[in-house]
Parts: sequence; C-alpha cells; structure tokens
Amino acid sequence: QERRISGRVTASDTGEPLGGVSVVITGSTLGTTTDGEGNYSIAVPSDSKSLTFRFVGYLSNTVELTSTNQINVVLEVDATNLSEVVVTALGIQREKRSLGYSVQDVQSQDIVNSREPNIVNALAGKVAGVQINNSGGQAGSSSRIVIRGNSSLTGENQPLFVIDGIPMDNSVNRGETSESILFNGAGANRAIDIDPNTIENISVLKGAAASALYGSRGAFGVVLITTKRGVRDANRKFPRVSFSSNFAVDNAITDGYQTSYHLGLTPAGGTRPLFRNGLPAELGGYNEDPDGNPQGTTSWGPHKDSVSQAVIDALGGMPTVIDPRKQFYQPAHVWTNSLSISGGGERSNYIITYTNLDQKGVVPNNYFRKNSLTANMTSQLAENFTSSTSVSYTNSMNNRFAEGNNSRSFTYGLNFAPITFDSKQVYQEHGNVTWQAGADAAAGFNNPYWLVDNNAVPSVVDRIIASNELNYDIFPWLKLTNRVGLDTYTDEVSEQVNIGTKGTTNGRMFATLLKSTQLNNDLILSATSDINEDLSFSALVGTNYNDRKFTSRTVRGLNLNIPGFFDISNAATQQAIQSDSRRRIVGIYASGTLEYKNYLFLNVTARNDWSSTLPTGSNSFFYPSASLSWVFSELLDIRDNPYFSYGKLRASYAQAGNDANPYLTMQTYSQANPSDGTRGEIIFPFRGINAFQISSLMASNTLSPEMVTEIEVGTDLRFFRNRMGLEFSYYDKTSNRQILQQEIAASSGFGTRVVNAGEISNRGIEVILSGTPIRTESFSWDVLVNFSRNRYQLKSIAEGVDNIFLGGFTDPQIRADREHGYGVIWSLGWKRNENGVLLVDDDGYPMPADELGPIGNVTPDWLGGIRNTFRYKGLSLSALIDTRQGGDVFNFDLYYTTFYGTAKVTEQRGTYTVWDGIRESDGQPNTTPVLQDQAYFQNFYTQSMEELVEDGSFIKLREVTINYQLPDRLIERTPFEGISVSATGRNLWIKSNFSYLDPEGSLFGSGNAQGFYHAVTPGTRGVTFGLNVTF
Amino acid sequence: NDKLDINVDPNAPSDVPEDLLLPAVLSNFSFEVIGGWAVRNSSLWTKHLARAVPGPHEGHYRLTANDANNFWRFYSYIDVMQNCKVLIEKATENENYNYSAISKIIFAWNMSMITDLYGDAPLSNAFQGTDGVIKPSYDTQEEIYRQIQQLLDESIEEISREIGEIPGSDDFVYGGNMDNWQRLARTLKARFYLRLSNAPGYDAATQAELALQALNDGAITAASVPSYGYVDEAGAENPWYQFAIDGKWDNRDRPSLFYVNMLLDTEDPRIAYQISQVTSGDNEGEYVGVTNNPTPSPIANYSQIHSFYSAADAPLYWMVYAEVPFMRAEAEFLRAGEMVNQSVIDAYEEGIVASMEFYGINSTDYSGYLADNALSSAAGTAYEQIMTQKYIANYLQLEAYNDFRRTGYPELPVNAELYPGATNLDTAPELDIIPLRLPYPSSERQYNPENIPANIPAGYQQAMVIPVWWDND
Repeated sequence: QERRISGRVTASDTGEPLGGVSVVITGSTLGTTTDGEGNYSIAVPSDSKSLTFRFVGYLSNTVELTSTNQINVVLEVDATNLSEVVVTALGIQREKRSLGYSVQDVQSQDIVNSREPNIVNALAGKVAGVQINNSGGQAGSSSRIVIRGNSSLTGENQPLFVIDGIPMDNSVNRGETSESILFNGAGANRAIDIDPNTIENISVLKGAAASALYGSRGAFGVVLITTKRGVRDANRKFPRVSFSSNFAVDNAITDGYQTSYHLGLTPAGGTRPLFRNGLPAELGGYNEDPDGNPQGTTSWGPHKDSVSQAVIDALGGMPTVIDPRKQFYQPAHVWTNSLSISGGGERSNYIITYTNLDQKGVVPNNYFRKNSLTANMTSQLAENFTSSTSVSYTNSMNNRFAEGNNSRSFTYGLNFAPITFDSKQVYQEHGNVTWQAGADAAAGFNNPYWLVDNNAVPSVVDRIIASNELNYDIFPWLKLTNRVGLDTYTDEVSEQVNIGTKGTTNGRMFATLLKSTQLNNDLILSATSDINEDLSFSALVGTNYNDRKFTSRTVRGLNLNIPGFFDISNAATQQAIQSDSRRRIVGIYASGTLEYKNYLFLNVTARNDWSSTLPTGSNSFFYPSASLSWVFSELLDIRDNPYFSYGKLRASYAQAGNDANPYLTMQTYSQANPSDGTRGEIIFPFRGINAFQISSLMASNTLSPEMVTEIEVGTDLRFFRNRMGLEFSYYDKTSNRQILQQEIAASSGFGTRVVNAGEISNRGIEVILSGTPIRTESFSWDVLVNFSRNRYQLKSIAEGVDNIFLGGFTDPQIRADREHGYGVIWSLGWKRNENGVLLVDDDGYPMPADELGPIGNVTPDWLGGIRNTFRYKGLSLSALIDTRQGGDVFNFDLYYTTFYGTAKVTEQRGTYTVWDGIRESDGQPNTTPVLQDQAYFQNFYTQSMEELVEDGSFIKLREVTINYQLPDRLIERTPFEGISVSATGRNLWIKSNFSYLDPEGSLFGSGNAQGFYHAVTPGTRGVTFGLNVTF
Repeated sequence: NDKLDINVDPNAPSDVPEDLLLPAVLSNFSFEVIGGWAVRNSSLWTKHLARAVPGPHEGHYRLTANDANNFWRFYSYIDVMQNCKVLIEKATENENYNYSAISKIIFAWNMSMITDLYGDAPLSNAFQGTDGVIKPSYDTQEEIYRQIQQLLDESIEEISREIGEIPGSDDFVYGGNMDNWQRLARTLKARFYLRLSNAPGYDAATQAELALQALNDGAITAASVPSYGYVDEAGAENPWYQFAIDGKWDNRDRPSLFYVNMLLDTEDPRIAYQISQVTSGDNEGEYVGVTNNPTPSPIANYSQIHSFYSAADAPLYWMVYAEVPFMRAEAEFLRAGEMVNQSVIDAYEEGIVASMEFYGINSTDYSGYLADNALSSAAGTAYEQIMTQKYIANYLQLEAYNDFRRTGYPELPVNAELYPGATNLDTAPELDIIPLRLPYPSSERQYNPENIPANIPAGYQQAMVIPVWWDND
C-alpha cells in the first residue's frame, strides 16, 4: 500500500520556489526532484516514516509523514553543509559530496535562455573544460563539442550523448556526395533534433572516472540529458499548461571586406587603375580601357570617389556602389512556439510537449524547421514496480546551400564580389551572370542569387527516440532496473544542382535515403545496505547490449535534361550507391560504493566489453576505475565559522577502452573510379563493364582496443556561509594504442594503413567559481565563472611517423604533429633565422621558407566563461561572457580575397609598409618600405600562407537575458499561474582580431580539423523576444 | 559470440577476379596517368599548351612537392601499379598469363613515367606493405630501366605461351588481341632503349641497335595504336574534354601562342586537327594561342585543343604510330654514328606521312609540307628535324617532354612570351630553364624521407634544375 505526497519547496531567504530539490524517502534511494516551480510529487510506501529534502546551500530538512498528503517545505540556508544532487552515469542520482570526480550540470533555464536551436551551442561558456565550436551561420549548421581536449588522433573526439539513459546519435550525415567536405561543407550534427524545451537538466561527465560505466563509448566524456517529468499537484483540478513563444531576429556579421575600390585593374604598362562595370559586352559592358574586357575578376580598379570623368560620362553618373555581403545576407527570423501539458494522478504522471521551430536563415532560402512531440509517462504499476516511458518524435527540415572551395558555393560569388556590380539586379534581369562570367559561360563564379534559387542541399529527418525504464524493488534494499531504448531516424539528404550552374553546366543531383538505428539495453541489479551506523554500502551489477546499424541508399544523376526537375529519371547518367554498416557491443559492469559517516566515499567500477569491430580473439577488453571523496570539513568544527563552510578533496583513477570503426580488419576491394580530384572522373560500370580495385587502406587483423587512462584530483570548497564556492580539478589523461588510419608512403602499395599506435597526453585544470555577492530579500547577484586550460602532447604516433593529417588540402592542411601538437596549421611560412626572426631580402620583402612547416596552431590556450545574474523581485538580468584565448584560425578566404582585392587589408593599397625583420644579407634591421600595390597582394602576399593565419581569440557577450515575471498580485484573479516576458541578445558584442570578427566558423563542421575557415557562412548575432505563460 | 561475428563489410568484396581488375588497371592508367596530370603539366613545359591563368603556376615552373604528389601517390603507385601487382600475382597463380602479361606492360609503362619524371624511385622494395615494408628503399634509374625491360620481356614471353583466359570486352584497349599487346611491348622496349641513348655508360649506337631489333621483331602499326575509347556521357568523357573543355573548374589551358605560331609559320596542315579555330568574337575563324598569363581579351577569343583530341567521345591515344618510324629514323641516324643515310631519310618521311595520315590528311595536302621539310644532310640539322617532327606528331604526349630533355630538340624558349601588343609580363617564370624533373612528392618527403636520394633537394626550384640520370648532355 502506498500513497502519493506532493507539495512545494521554497527558500527561507528569498521566499522563491526552489527547483531541483532532492526529495527522498528517508533511509531509501527512492526519490524525486522538484520542478522549476518548486513542486514535487512522490509515491511513498505505507511503512515510510519521513521525507528528506536536500538542496545545495540549504540545510536538509526531514519531515515526518502524517495523514496529510500535502507537505510544503521551507528550506533554511545552510552555512555549513552541502547536499547537492547530480545525475551520474547510468542515470544514477548521487549527492555531489560523494563524488570522487568532476560533474557539472546545466539547468533547464540556462539552456532555454540561450535561444539556440542546436543544443550543443546552448552549452557554450557554461561548463568548464568543454569547448564548443559552431561551424557557421547557415541555419542547420553543425557544432562541435570536445571535453578536456582531443584524446583520439583521427577518431571521434566528441562525447557520447545520452538522453534519459539511452545513447543517441550525434553524427553529421552528408549523403552520398561524390565530393570532399572541402568542396561542399557539412550539414547539421544530429543533436540538433533535441527539443531544448523538454530538457530538465544536462549533466556533463568530463573524466573517464565519471563515464567509466558507459564503457568504450564514454571514453571522451558523456553529455547526460534528463528530460522533464510531469508532476502531480493535489491543489489542481486541471493539468498544468505552459506555453512559450519566442521570436528572434539575427543578422550576419559581414566584417572583413573593403568597400572603397571598384572592379578593374591597372593595365600592363598603364599608370592608373581603370574601371570596368563587370557586365558582358552584350549587356552594356563598359571598360575604361576601350580595348579591354568589361568583365574581370579583380577589385583593383579606381577608388569609388575618384573615378575618371570618362567613366562618369560613359555611365551617365558616378558608378553605384553596393556592399555585396550586406546586400545578400538577410535578417534571419526564428519563431519558436512550445506548448506543454503536464499533470498526474495517484499512481502516474505525464508531460507532453509540442514544439515548433521555424528558422529562416541569413542566407536567402536557407531554413531549418523542426516539429517535435515529446511525451513521458511515469506510472506505479504495483507497489514495488514502476515504469517510465518516454517517446519523442522529431521532424527536422533543413534547406541549406553548398559552402567550401567550389564555384557552386555561394560564398565564392559573394566574398570575391566587387562593390561595382549589383549581383541581385543582374540576376533578376539576366540570370546567372557575374562580373567575370556571362550567362552561358561554362566556368567561373556563379551569381549567388542564382545559386540560392536553383541549387540546394535539402535534408529531411524523421526521428523517434523511445525508451522505457522498469524498476522493480525486490526488497527495500534490492532493486532491478531494465532500461531499453531505441534511437532511429531516416534522413533524406539530397543535392540539387540545376542546369546552367557554372562548373556543372549540365546539372546534377543525388538523393540519399539513410537510416540509422541504435538499440540499447541495460539490465541493472542494485543494492544498498547499512553495514552499521557509520558505514553503508551500495553496489550494482549490470549488462549492456548496444547495436548500431546504418544503411543508406542513393541514386545519383549527372547531366540533367529538364531544368529544375530533380528526379533520377531526368538524368542522362545514373548511379546507384549503397552503404551499410553494423556494429555491436556487449558489456558487463559492476560498481560499488562505500560510505563512511557521510564524509568519506569510495567508489569502484569495473567493466568488460566485447566488440564486433575488433578481431575475434582480441575483441574483449576490461577496464577499472576507482574514486575517493573526502569531505574533510566534517572533521572540523566549522558550524559557526563565518569564513570557511565546506571542504572536500577528491581523487580518481580510471581506464576506458575503445573499439575500432567497423570493417577495418579485412582487406577489401572497391569499385574503380578513375578521377583527377575535382575536374573529372570515369564512373563504372563503363561501356557495360564493371571494374574493381584493391582498397588503398591496408586492413589489419591484429587490432587491439584503444585505452584511455585518466587520473583526476580536485577539491570543492565553500566559503562565507556558502556564499562562495570554488571547485578545482586537475586531470592527466593518456590515450594509448590508438587505432589510426595512418598515412604511409604510397610506394608501399597503400595510402593508409590501420594500426594500433600513438600515445596522447592531455593535462589540464578546470576552475569553477560561484558566488552570491549580494542576497537580500528583493535583490540578488549571482556570479558563475568557468575557466579551463588543456595542454596537449602527442608523445608518439607510430614508428617513424611524426604527424597525422586531420583535414584540409595537401597544402595547406591541419595536422597533429608530434613536435607541434594537435591542430597544427601546416603550410609554407616565411623564411626565418634560427631564432625565429623574420628574414627580409634587400628590397624589403620577406621570402617564402624553403619547406612547409608549422605556421600556427588552432588549439586555444584557455577557455573561460562568466555569468552574472541579477534579480530584483520579478526582474532578472543575466549576462554570459564567453572567451577563448590563444589558438589560431587559418583564414583561407584571405588567400583569394587578397588576390581579388576584396579583403579589408587591401584597402591599404598604395601605401608603404616596413616588414619587421632583419635583412638576410647583412643581419641589420629592415628599414626598406615596400609598396602595397596590386602586384604586392597578388604575387607576393600569399607566397607564404603565414599572412592567412589569424588570432582565433575572442571575447563574446554570448548571451544577455532580461526576464520579467509578472507579480502574482497582478494575475491572481486570472487563470494564469505565471507570466513572464524576456529578451535575449546573442553575440551582441564580440571582441577579436579576426578579419571577419567571429572566428567560430569551420569548413569541416564538427570534424577533427578545426580552425579551417574557408567559404563558410559568417556567424550571426541577434535578439530574441520571449513570452512564457503557465496556467 | 556469433552475435559479434558481423565485421564483414557488406559493400566491399574481399576478392575479385582478373576480368574485374584488368578494366580498373587500364581505366586508371588511361584517365589518371596517360591522360592525366603529368601530361597536362609537361605540355605546358613543351609549349604544346599554356595556362592563361594568373600565376605563378606550373606554366611559370612553380611546381611544389605537393603539386607533384597526386601523380606519384594516388594515380601511379596506388591506382595503377599496386593493382597491376595484385593482378600479376592473381593471374600468375591462376595461370592466366595473358592477364599477367598485359598487367606487366602497364606496370612497366607507368614505372617508366615515374622514373622519367622523378628519377630514382622505389621498385624492387615497393608494394610490400602487407609484409610490413612501409618505407621502401629506392632503386636507381638504371636499375629501374633494367627491370622495366625485364618486365616487357616477360610479358612478350607470357603471351607466347598461349595459356589461360583471353580477355575480351574487359580489355578496353585491344579487346583481347594479344598480338597487339605483344607489339606494344616491343614498341615500348624500343622507346626505352632509345631513352638511354645518352645515359652514362651506355652507347648510343648500341641502344639504337637494340631499339631497331625490338621494332623489327614487330612493332605497332597504324592499325594497332593503343587507344582508349571514351563516351559522350557524364562520367565517361575523354579526360582532355573533362579537363580543358567542359569547364568543371576552368577551361583556360589552351594551345600555346608559341606552338600555334610555329604551325602557322610552317603552314603545317596538321593545325586543323590539333588546334581549333576560334568560333566567335574578334578572332573568329583564326588560330590564336595563349601564353601562361591571363588573356587581354575574353578567353573565348582564343583557340582550344581540337576536338580530335578533346571531344567528349574522342579516343585517348596512348601513343601515335608515327613514333615508330621516327624512332627508326633516330635509331638509324645514331647507329650510323649520327649520319644521315637513306634509311634515316625513308624513316623520317614515313614518320611525317604517318603523322599526316593519322589525321586523315591526303598526300595532296601534305606533299608541299613534306618537300619544304626535306631532311637536311647536315647531321645537326637533321637530328633537330627528326625530333621536331616527332614533337609535332607527339602533340599532347608525355614523350615529347622526354625527347626534349634527352636530345634538346626542338629548341624551346622558356615560358616568357608576351601577348601581341603587351609590354609587361604579368608573371615571369621562376626558373631560367625548362624544368628537368619534378621534385619528389610531399608524401614521400613526409612518410619515407630517409630513402629519398640525398642529392635531390626538397626545394622545388633547386630540384627541378637537376637532370635525371639518362639526361646526360
């Protein structure tokens, strides 16, 4: 027999409701937490005596049960103790004081307030040791998240995402494009399908000890997402309804271009730059040089204010000047509407949330739309048997455009566009005409307006994530849990390149239907026991089964017949491509915790995995972890100490194994595809004959699992009656026996081989400083500071190998290098002496180095975030400043824009500069000025790539939110329970030395090669207005 | 454990038969090697073509270790020669000697291109990655040519055995005509004997004698020129079409001003099959070449490579028959101690006629040209005439670059031409000679640096002025 107790928890100091309060049946592990309004509801067995309420910074409160089912509790501020509860591996809630490792959580409101459609972006600046990088400003772009540095040379470095206990897919699908990501860009990471409105809490498990029970898949950290649960409120007759509506306006950042000089150039032997209007002769083309071509590629023409009278006469006035970037990017609009209904009965509760997101991007016709319906139902099936089922369905629709090193990328026709030429008007009147190519030209830049009307890379995802958790209390001290989950989606990715696209004049298309399915099951038996008054013990054993299956089917067509018709029947050449993979892991694990007098905690885990991707016979791997937490302040009498309130020391050691990708253990053949890169190919079957060749990847049947070993020590300290807290962590993580695809000399017969090799060390510190400098009845000021730095060292790769290619071109590229670290920008620098001083020739010019070498590193020195929150009655103001310091960005756009004369730096044309270096000939400081003219920027400036390496440091006012909660007295006579309005600014202020202001773009999306900025949509900033209503 | 035994790639076979490997070898060799980057680049240096693109680029002799990488790494060692090696092993084991013979010919041919362009290269220690050799040692060019001749001898012998499967439609070049393959092997032998005419320790007359012997054993005829037929469908077109005409990236690699003017000045009737007339604009109906700098007027006002070579469905000629009589002419000339005799004259004239007839030009249309270009009796002039005629016949063939380096003929100026009327060169060449080799590729510099010959510097400008071993003037 049991009954349900519910009520509301408020704080003694502010009188405000407290969310996230742990409500536990005293002496058991059964419990719940309060929701954002402080409400809770819990099923209580009849023999239970009392409930214990715990929340960080407050004294725990144990309330005896009486006949009433409604218990409202006021928690007193605790000057001495802490009992914060966090979600840990396998969804187990534990008191933070008992943890021997670092876990940091982010609450619902902080996620929603970021107003980011992509959940990964919502974590930026909020968790110490976590680096987020958004790949670009198109709606539906991917974001990368890495915890505590890159631990794997070439494999996945991003953490495992777990939602309500089951792993979910966060991959980026590009469909069966024939082209490298360099020439097309990347789409969204699939965590974008999660509805932020359904999230109660995100808990980030940073180290191997925290994630050890997730086995091989948790080796790079875990992002644990817990969704909201319904609560029963005995005072209500009707379900609680919450509605929120947000409208955002975003604008693209278009810094980095000169806006003064026209299309044109100084002809050979000429004395001054001559103007061209960029139109083909037959459309009214004009060149100041009567023998010259009215079209051209370069903005080396006259200054907009000093065009010659001849030009003014010919054009009938001064040439019109436009800013092509400002003209093209439009204000983005994002509408988000979310409706949630929740409630509960005696034995069950539920919540249903529907959210619609409609994002119109800064690029015309670019959109991301998402509809998601999420439901959770938790029921008490019997006295000792509960079931919780979550189902979410998401439909995501993304229409995006190719980016990257390609004339089909709209950024080409945009970033190199002169201020002379109105691409929009010309497109509307004449079609795909640019300032350097007529409508019929087979090659050259495409008009960006034409591209976004004629080409696209659409994707439609239908995704279902369903999970069920059954809990059976065999005895009060012994519980059996089974958690089964399914994450499955289809993604219809396609490419549409219309007839008339320069570079692909006959058009092409592909349509891929891909399907990803992940099935996961955990069966866990857990027990708790008080050995004596001082010592208690809890333990669990479990098994895990994980199956991931991926299939894709593609039809690809070349040479279309009917314009704008992207069906395979319309293609003169048709190809069909299939791609499948499947992998399984079976694991067993155990965990045990000893707790002594509530101040000393020892936790030990062990797991063994068997993976399908490793050779039979060596596919089993075992790894242990141990962690210790010691709340030493319990030994001190500090109850009345006004300065020092709480102190804990912790230490952990853990290993995590990792398996390989599928199908690396057996040598295979693949269909031949003679190709010269981007210019051409032969597709088989050819003339009715098929052809296969041996794979250039040398397989290995002797692979063994990778191993990550991590030691972490840390401390949690609280001061001034808990008004200030300091958490510090130091970790030292080593990844060994990496499974690499190592490039080797092709004269071996192979381009790459699969090998176990490499040792990587990541060491770092994380500091979390929290405080409440002011807290009065009506006003409070809270501060949260995150700081982290990570030091990477590649101790070895493979015998005789010093570096590994991560991404980029043959030159330039991003690589991991033994001597120079991870994310090294490798290309041709300037010649320097042995002290690194720039050498200059007798004419005052630096000289290209003799050999390629490191010219930068994209890895930041440190990351930090500061959040200040001010509350005055119903009004709150919160500001998040996020910074990344150190680390370079390779701005490959400048390679072209300096040549074409559209880069901001070329505005200095005609002026002299003196390079800071010494003359090679006599060792004296260089004093010879050099003229920065067209030849300087076109022929000299990018002879070395060093001028393209820019500082990637930034300080961003990432979020600033003003929220106003209407006073209760205004709405007490209405059906409304709460009404609030808010305004959020995103990236309103950015400080950086990067040409384009926001250095967060990456052509490689969420791939390992970061800091490669080239032909991507710039970052955005904007304001969101929101309304939240509960009734 | 059965549940874990699923690691077999469903999309990639673990074994394939000879008749699926052969088309891959032939198609990769044709598209990526014979019709690929190497000849696109060497044609800029032999001035058959020029690249009317702002520089500095390959037309200005700027060619870095990275630029030299793909041809070595992906096209030659991986896509062609490794698959030749796999096919040779499989066919030998199955006693399908026709397949191993063809594979050895392609292997030898590709290896000759590697050594001609780069010099010493891995061969006897190469293709042993599965045995753990990931940093193969280099063989000298002399040793490589010894092995190439041996491979060709083996292929001739294997065909003679007449054992095993005979290829059919999977042989895109000869459709299984093994006699033609044998002829091709002998023709290549002759080519490679002559290659060493100036090599240190080798005697020109002896090499000429060996070359003549190989040709006399049965060389290719006008009817058995090796070629690969392409199709006018997307993803099946001729590589010159895909590179220079359809504009996937650019279409500004065009016949050079120097070469077009040379044909115009000599009223060479072959111009109508090598160079296309401008179809519109100011120069309509004319033959106008480009330089290695951007054109002063729109690119459409300049000639393209003629559709004889660059139509989407044009066959790619792996060599031309005229090379046989021109080899004969040179060999007779060298055998006679660099003297002109009737055998030299006959072979020389046969070469010109073969080249004319290759395009279907009638004798009435070339007899005047033939008379104007009668072989001089002066040895020096005669040698230049032979090699110049061979150079014209070898339009868009890598062999023109090899012959130029070996004999110095025809005399070619460095790429510093100005467009008519222009006074300044936008970008000047980075070397004052035509490059003599390629720098070693970046992948070898990165993954096998210990074995690269120490006398070849990493810097491309320093490397490209060092002649290869056989180029011994």
